[in-house]
Parts: sequence; C-alpha cells; structure tokens
Amino acid sequence: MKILISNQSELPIYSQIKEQIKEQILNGNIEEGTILPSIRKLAKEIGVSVITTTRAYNELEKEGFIASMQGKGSVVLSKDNKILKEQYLIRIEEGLENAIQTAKKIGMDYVELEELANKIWKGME
Amino acid sequence: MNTLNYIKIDFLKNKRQIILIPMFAIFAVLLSKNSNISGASYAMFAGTIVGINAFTSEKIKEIGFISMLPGKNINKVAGRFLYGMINMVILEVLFLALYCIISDFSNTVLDKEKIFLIVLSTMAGIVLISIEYTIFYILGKFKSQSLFTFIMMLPGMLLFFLSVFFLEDEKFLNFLFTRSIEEIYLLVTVAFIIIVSLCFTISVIVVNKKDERND
Amino acid sequence: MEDMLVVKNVSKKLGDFYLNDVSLSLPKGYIMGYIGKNGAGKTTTINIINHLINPDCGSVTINGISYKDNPVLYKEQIGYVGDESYFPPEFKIKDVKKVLKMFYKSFDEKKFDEIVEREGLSKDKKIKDFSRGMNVKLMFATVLSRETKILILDEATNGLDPIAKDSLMTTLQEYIEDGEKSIFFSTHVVSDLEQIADFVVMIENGKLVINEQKEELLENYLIVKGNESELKGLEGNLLGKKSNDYGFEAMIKADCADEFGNKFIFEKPNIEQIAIHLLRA
Repeated sequence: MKILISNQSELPIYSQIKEQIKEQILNGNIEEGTILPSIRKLAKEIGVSVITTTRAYNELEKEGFIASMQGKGSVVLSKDNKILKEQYLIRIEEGLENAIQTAKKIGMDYVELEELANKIWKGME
Repeated sequence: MNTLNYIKIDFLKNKRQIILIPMFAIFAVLLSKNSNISGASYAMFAGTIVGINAFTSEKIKEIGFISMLPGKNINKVAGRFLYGMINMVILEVLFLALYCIISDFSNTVLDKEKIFLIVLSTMAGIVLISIEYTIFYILGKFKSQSLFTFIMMLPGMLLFFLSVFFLEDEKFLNFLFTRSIEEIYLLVTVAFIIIVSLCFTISVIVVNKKDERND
Repeated sequence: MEDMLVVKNVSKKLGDFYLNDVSLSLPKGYIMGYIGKNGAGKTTTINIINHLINPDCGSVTINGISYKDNPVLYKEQIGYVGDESYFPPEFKIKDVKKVLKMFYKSFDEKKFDEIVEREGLSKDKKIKDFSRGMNVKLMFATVLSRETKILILDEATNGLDPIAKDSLMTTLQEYIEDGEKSIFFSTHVVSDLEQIADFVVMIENGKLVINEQKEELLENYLIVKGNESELKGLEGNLLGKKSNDYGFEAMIKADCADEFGNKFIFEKPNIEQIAIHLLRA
C-alpha cells in the first residue's frame, strides 16, 4: 500500500489518505481480503495524527470499501460488493457530468460528444 | 519507605558538605580546650550550618524533577527534618569521639557534665534547625534563600534572649538548681519533643497548602 | 473514548495574571497540542496539572484519579519534560538513575541505559555541563524508561535540531500507539503540532480561545484574500484582517464563504495561520 501526503494539496489529509486507498482498492493494487495496517500504525508510519487516519478509515468503511472486525483490524471488502458498485457508478456519473459540462461550455453538441466517446471507447479496446 | 529515600536524595545532592563535618568537629574540640560550653555551642551552630544547606542548595529548576517524584509531602518534610537531625548527630558524635581520643592524651576526664553538655547541644541544635526549617517552609524555599543569613541568626538570637531572660530570673534558677539531673534531662527532652513536633507539624501543613512554583 | 486528562473549570490568580475557567479533556491514546503566546497561561496550566500549583477552584484528574485521591499514584502516572533541565546541576547520570530507582517502581534500568547509550549521553559529565540537546534527551530518557499514563511536555522541543525533533515526533507517536496513553504537548512553535496533534487547544490571556479536534478546526476556517473595495458590508465576518497596498487578507468562518462570492481567493489555513488570525482579531 502506498500513501503519499501532500501538505500543499487542496484536499484535507484524511481525504488524501482515503482517496489513495480507494484508488488502490479499485485498481486492484490492494486485494480483497487484505487487512489494512491499524489506524495507529498508519498514523505513526506516515506521521499524521490518529484522528486523521481514523476519519479516513471511517469514511472508507461508510462507503463500503472496508469493514472493521473486532480484534482483527480493517479488511478490504470484495469489489463485487453492492456498495462498491455504487461507488463505481458515482465515479462514472461524475466523469460524464464533467465531460458534458465542458462540452457545453465550448459549444459542442450531444452528437459530437457521442462520436468522441465512441472513438475513445474503441481506442481502449 | 519514601522518607528514607528523601533523606538519601538530600545526602546525594549535598555530597560536598561531608567534608565540613569533620572540620567542624575538630574546631569544636579545639574550642573545648578553652571552655566546654564554647565547644558545645560551636558544635551546635556548626550543625545548623550543615543542615540549612539542604535548603540553600535547592535550585528553582529542580522542582520539575524533585517535586514531581511520587511521594507524599509528609514524607518529604520528614526526610528533610531527619536529614538535619542526622547531620547534627553525626557532627556531635564525631565531636565526642574526637574529644575522647584527645582527652586520652591530655588526661582530662570525660565526666557526666561534659556528656550532658553534648547531649544538650545536640538537642538544642536539632531544635534550632527545626525552627529554621519551619521558617524556610513558611517564607518559601526560594524567597528565603536571600534571607537565609537572617534566618540563621534568628533562632540563635532567640535562644540568646531566652537564656538571658531565664537565667536572670531567680525563681527559674531556684527551680533549676533544686532539680536532679534526671529531672533536667526529662524537662529538656519534653521541651525538645514538643518544639520539634510542633515545627514538623507546622511545616507539613504549610507545604500542603503552598504552591511549589510561583513563576 | 475514555478520558485520560480532565481539567474542569480551573481558575488561578497569580499577581496580575488570571487563569480563567479553563476546561479541557484529552481522551486516552491521543495527542493534545496546547498553544499560545509566551505568558498566555500555558505553563501555569501545566503547573496546575502537575500539581505544583493549587488552583483557586476547579479540578484535575488523570486516569480518573485526582491528586487528593492518591498523591503518589497521581505523580507516578505523569512523565513530565520541561523546557530546561530540571536535574540537580551537580548530578551525573548515575545519580539520576539512583533517584529514579528509589522512587519509581516501574523504572526499567536496562531501557534507560539503552537510551543513554543510543543518544550518546556522557556518563562522566555533570548535568550542568550538558548541552541543551543532551538535557532534553536525558529528560526524555527518564520518562520513557518507566511506565507512565501521560506525557506532559512544556516547550520540550525548544533547542532541538530538526533531526532530533523529527525523531522525537516518531517516539511520541510510538508512545500513544497502544491507545492507552496520552500526550499533552505545549509549545509556542505551532508547526511542531501540525502533523501529529489530534486536538488543539489555544490559550490567550488566561482564557481558552480554541478547544477542538484538529480536523474540525481546520474545516471551520478559510483564509480569504482580495480587494478592499469588494468588501461592501462583509467586514464583520473578517477575523485578523491585514491590509497592504495590493489588497487584504483575513480569516473567515468556513460557513460564511458563500456570502463572499467569487471576487475573492480562498485558501485552507493551517493551524498556525488560524492561531495568528485569532490572535490578531
């Protein structure tokens, strides 16, 4: 697991931690079933306060990425998890909203956008 | 027990003083050649000088260490009082021992009178130092350091005036001379116990009430 | 969260200075940073927590115990490090060890020797000849080699070089790692706390002006920058405003940012900036 904190970032530190762990879970770098380092151990390792890592883990749990088990720690949940799928959905929606907003700004119409989307989808196959 | 530990700390902190004790004892013996009373008085005052150093050598910054040691105030005060008493007793015993050795050479006899004087000077010394310690506790350990010369003088002056007062008083003198030596011992011991206990009690009450740090 | 340190309504008058109704609580396993200008009341508060001073009113408990309940246990639980050496200047390390052995049942001599060895503290020098850095290291060696429930640090990092300070921060985080012990850390160098403090408390003129979780504190405020002319009617929201020829800079509560609109620049402050703006206000 890799975590890099930037003090210059717009995002609060707990958010950076949360997003980076989320990212690694989503792209498989952290596998389902992995037990994450304890809140206190993580805080010590990256040199932030315990409350910061606590918050990051709490939010990850709320969003369905991890579950905390008595005595064992926090375990990474399966990607098939329903809540996780919702997360993915939200990301897709966000991406589309961004694309559509920008398109409207520069005066692109729906058809042009669809063509562009097709092109990119095909380019990734 | 913690009291013993506090005594040990005082001895550990004031290691250098150990040299003073034999020095003072020797001077006391030398003075005794002239008069026994001056030798015994000297030993008494010398003992208070050694004892009072426990207060004058305390530094404000040591509070963070010494005062944070887990121990009750009553043990702390008891340890300090006992430190003073032990030093006094060591000095007087050394004085007595040296005196015995020297009197073997000069054929002077160690009689009841001399022993009485030494015991008296030890008790008076302990009373003196108890009063001085109590004054230190009441006025504040560190504020007292600048006043310490005065504090040293105070009990001495007190004793002087009291002795003049009593020794001029005919009734008192009569009373004294009609007592046996055992009765005088008893009287002195009772007075000693009362005064020292009073000083100790007052000191403990004061220490419990007072703030250690006043910055 | 169980509380380790509870200070309730503590007040104390010391000459002209008045420590006014200070209350705070620090849960087990967390670090509380205590900041404020020199003379604002940090050391007085700590003296009261250490029971070196009696408060005029109010109470302090550590791990549920007050000094009155058990004076010996109360002090045993505290590991205190101050900003200057508190050892008798004529002592050497072996004398310090003797005293620690006498008074602290949980004193671990081996651990103490290890730390002394590791930090290169001279066994032959007298404390009065120690450098400042060595003094700090020795104080920490004495508190870390016995069992304590709370570390109370009063400007303990003054005089440490950056490497030693960094190493100390790690040591402090290791201390709270088991979740059972806490650290109360006063400093006037706020940046020391930015990373590891869980709670921030700030005192000014004897009164607490900040007393919250660090994350929440950081979210409550924003720095706003812009032109004076655009301010119309919004001045009331500004805290600690500073103007120059090119514009102004101030702090506002995050929830009134919407009133300002997009003619201004907003930045998230760090603890130091929050403290500065509150003091300026």
